[in-house]
Amino acid sequence: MKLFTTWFYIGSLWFFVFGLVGCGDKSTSEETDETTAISDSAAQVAKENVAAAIKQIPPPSEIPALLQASGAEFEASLVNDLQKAEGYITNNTEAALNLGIYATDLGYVVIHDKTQQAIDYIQASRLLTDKLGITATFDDQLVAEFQENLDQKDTLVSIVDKALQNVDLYLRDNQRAPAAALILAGTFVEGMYISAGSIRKYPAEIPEDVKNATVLKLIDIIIRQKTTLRDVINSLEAIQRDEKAEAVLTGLKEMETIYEQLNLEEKIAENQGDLMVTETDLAALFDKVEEVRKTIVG
Amino acid sequence: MSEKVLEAIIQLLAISANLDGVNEYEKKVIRKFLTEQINDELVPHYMHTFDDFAAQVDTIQAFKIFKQINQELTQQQKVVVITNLIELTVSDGKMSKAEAELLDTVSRAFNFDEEEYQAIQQFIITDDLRSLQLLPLVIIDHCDDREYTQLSSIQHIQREHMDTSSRVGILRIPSLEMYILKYEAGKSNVYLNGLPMRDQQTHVFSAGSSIRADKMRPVYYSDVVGLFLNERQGPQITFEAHQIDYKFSSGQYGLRHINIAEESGRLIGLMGASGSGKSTLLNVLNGNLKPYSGSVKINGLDVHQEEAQLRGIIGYVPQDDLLVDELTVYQNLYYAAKLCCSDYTDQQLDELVSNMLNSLGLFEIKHLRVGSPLQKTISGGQRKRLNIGLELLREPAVLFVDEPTSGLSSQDSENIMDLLKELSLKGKLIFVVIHQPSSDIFKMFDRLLILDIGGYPIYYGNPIEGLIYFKTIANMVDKEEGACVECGNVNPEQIFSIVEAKVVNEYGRFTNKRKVSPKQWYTYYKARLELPTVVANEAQPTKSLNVPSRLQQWYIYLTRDLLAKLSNTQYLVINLLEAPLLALILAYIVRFYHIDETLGEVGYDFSQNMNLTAYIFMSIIVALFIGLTVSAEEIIRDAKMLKREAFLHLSRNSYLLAKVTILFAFSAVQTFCFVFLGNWMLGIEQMTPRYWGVLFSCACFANLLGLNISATFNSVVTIYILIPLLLIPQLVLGGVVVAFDEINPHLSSQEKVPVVAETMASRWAFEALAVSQFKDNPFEAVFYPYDKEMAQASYLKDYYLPTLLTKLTFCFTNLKNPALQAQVKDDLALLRYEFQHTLASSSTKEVVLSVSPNVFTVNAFNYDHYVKAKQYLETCKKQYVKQYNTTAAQKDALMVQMTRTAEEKANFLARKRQFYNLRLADLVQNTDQAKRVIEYQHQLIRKIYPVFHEEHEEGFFSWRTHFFAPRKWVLGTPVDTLYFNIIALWVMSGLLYLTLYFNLFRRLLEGLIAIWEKISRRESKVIKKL
Repeated sequence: MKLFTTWFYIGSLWFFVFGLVGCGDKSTSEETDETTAISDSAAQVAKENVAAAIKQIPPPSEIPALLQASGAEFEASLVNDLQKAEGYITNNTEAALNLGIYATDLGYVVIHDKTQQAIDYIQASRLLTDKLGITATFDDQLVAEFQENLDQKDTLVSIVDKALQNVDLYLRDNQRAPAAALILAGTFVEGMYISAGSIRKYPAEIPEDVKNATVLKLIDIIIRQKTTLRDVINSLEAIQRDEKAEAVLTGLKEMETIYEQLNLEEKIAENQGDLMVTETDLAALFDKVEEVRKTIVG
Repeated sequence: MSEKVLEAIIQLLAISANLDGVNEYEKKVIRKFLTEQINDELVPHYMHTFDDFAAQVDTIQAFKIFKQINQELTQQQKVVVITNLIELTVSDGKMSKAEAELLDTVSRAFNFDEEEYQAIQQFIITDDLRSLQLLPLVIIDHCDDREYTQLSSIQHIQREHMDTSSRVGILRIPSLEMYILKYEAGKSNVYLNGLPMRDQQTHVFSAGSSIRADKMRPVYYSDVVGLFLNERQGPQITFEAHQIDYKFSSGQYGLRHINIAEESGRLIGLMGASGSGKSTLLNVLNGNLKPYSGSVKINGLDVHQEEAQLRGIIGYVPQDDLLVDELTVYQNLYYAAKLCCSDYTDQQLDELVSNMLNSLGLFEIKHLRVGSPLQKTISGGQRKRLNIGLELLREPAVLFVDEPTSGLSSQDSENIMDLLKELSLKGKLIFVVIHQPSSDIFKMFDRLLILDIGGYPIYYGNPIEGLIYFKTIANMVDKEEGACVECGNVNPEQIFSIVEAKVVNEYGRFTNKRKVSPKQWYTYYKARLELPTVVANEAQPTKSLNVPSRLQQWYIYLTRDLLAKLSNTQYLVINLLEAPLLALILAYIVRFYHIDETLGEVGYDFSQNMNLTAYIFMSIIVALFIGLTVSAEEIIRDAKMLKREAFLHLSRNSYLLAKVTILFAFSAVQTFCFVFLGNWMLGIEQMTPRYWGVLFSCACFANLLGLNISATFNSVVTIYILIPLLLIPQLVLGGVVVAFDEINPHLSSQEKVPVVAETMASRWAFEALAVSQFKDNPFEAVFYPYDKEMAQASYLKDYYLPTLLTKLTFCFTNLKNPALQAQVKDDLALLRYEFQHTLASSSTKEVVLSVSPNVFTVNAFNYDHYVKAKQYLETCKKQYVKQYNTTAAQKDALMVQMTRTAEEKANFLARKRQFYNLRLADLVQNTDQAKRVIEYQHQLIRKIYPVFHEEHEEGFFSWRTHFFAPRKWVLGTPVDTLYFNIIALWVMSGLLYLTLYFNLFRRLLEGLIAIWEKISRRESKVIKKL
């Protein structure tokens, strides 16, 4: 997959160069029009390829639902501070990354029936979608719809999921798939963070066997995130990155390395019955997750 | 003769007699003199006094007596004394040296002018009046005028029927404006005021006197005085009124067949019962009212038609008060003087005013504020005198005075009439409407015109003759007597009791019916009285008026008004405090900030203030309200003053501009205080000049509106009732209370601001402020160009083009579907329109419009066209997507650059909080409306982001756009909304000034009333017929 995208990158670059050089000395407007037309279409092709390389943003409620099903309780300290939203609007990259963060937080609070907080997170997301110019997704209509269905959790969940889906659609429709990649990264990181946090903050007083049952499931969720991580890294690599995005990518790659070091597939394949991946094993991973998250939310 | 005078004469006689010893002859003369003057019973008493004095007196005592007499007697009385003295001294046929010396001493002691004294002496001593060629004399005898022309300074009145050997001579004493008369006897009697005169006898010839004899036409005081005046005053004014008829608007006659013929130097009285038309007549004569028929001419020039030539000739003192209450007595006169005598220096003006104050007896109170009739600082009499004084300042050639004495004490009345009499003696022609004059005042008039009910003239002539006339008709016993023979008193009331005498019924009670009707009196008048005539003087009358230039007038009006306002502390304080107080209240209430700690820091945050739009709107309403109420009363207050000043033909423009200047100045201060305080409290920063500019323009507009209604209506109450009617539409159609596309569809317009709202000042002001606050604030100003492009692109790619694409597909799919034909037709029409107009004008260079709009008809549309159109639209959309993304990236790059460090970022965010209000942004971007684009009359109309939307149309009315447009296009050039709207406000104000200057609203109102009256009269006529 990676190879394919790089070849296409080179290919499109070739097209650009060909187009610019090939016209020679004759700089009539016709020719330049032609070349720009060609380069335009080349850019078009490139963009479409990029878009294809970027994975679709997952529904924000996905991970939280899994967490809840595993028995984890709502942990208020895990969600990102709402007051920081204002600080993200100066930079498109930051806005996109944190939109992902807030979206996942939104999913988290909706799953746990925290309706007031949900509305607050919708507002925060709105601030960021306004900045990104993604119209008609997080708007008054959404809030109205939300408020009409406050007692039906399933509807609320679907509303939130649909909103993110619309965001993704809009971005692709408007040749802005790179922004989608950033949002994707944000959702991933936050999902990881909440999962990790749920494990770490699991109350110690609870009896061993109950605890183990839940924690095991949570760890399982984290293990499965490895493939998603690969997708996210691919997506980020496909786009043009600035400083922050680069930092995030680096962090994610490091995260991947830690995953590799855990050698989970081998262990599962070997199926050593009483082998459990414990929290301590995952400590390094959790730290890395926190680090990357800190890079994003500041 | 008063006792004092008599005593003085006796005393002096005693001294004189003492000089060469008292002899019997002298005593006899004295006794005879006394008998003539006083009651028989008192004669011995005075003789006794004489004897006593004669015995005692010596030089020193003489001087003491002189001093005493000086202190006790007026100068006129002293003249009487000295004339009698001279007369008595020469009664023995000669004047000894000693006697002459004594007389000289006396005259000096009495401070007589040497020349005048000599004149008097000569006058009394001479045998032949005609020999006194150098003296100011009038001689009355039967001789022809031509005999007297060679004799210098002597003037002559001919009375052919006078006895051939009689002669009357009248000497004028200029310093006292006094006249003494001497009679040279002939064969038949000549009567002075009813009493026969003795040969060589000297009398004082006073106002109201008349000289009569059998068959002779009487000679009146005014005739004599007039002659003296003639030689002094050059050009004369002749005043004629021919057959004046006047009809009221109801059709009733107010005046019938009035004829007047007068000359300068006369005081004419107009009398009559209430409702006889005196004031109406006055107003017709002075040019205020137009007669139904007949003409009024001054020196041959018609008063109503040749006004321009008669400028400044006429003066008018109405009954009502014309004073500026807040100014002092001195200031009232001073400004009136400034307006009529512009060629005087300040010192001269001061002199003029001080003199006037002195003659009016108001000098001591000159520094007192006039005050209102309710809040009296000066008395009613003083007010009246001041009123008259205003007009007397410029001494108009013809003066009309309406009831100058009503409400005054008899002393005050006489004072006023004295003033007027003096003026008439100086050569002015004065018409006075008078009620119940005292005897002395009655005698002052040179002519009297009496009207009866219905405007009938029933007498015109000499006042005292008038009495005789009426008494004759009424057949009274003493009908030959005008004045009382003994005391000279007349009873003017007699005239009216005769005129209005009522019929007595069978029970001996008075009924309401009059014995003689007005019409009957008029018939008598026509039959018996000869109408006076006058030869019109064709010369152009000289003006006593020197009106200052328009600029000076403006300045005078300004200072007067300003002084008046500044001296009214209550007014000033409230006016100046009102605005900041309102600002305080408004801003304090509206200063919202959230107290929810989850949303962030608690504390005032400009960007989060939900009430900014409300504040802006309310401040506009405040400006309008204050502007309106401050100016609503302005012109009504001056109504009477304006009427008087109309005779000065001053510039209305200057007057209005002065008012406007003051009001504008007040508005400027008020709005500045308001903006300063309100904006400070709400944290609206760096926008003060803009706010002030808009609110000041609003206030000025309201000022002019207020002045207009002030000039239109007659009562203050009407005006205040009207104020809600004027302000509520401003409130409703300002654009905030109801949205323009959500009002009655008959009024609203989807695309542009409705026409009815374009006339509302609040709409212009609010749009200006909202747009300016949003786009010009220091934070947004940097990003506005980007936001604008992004908004434009966003609208097109997200709403407009998708809508068109949907319609296109729909049309194609359902082209043959009979059930949806109507809709297909509509959609095709819409597509045709859009392809023809909007797309054609906004197509970017890279995309060529390859589809002709004409294909969008039911017949022509096919698959080919569909594909082409679809392709075109999709290409357009891609174009705009690219454009949007590029601009968004640019904006983002800019922002990133501005927020590199954490500190910069904090500053940036703080700046945003300081300048960018979220509620306002929502309002001007219309983001809370669900409908972003609507269909209307086969067009797509953009609703979203109005503040970023500019439409450039051709034509004069291209400035009409949607609400919150950022710029307006005028004849091809873009003008920023703030400036355009302010100019619009001033254009409206300018129009209001024009309507004010031409008084259009008043005329409209009067026109409407006239139509209404016509209709109601026609109706009542119809009803009557039925």
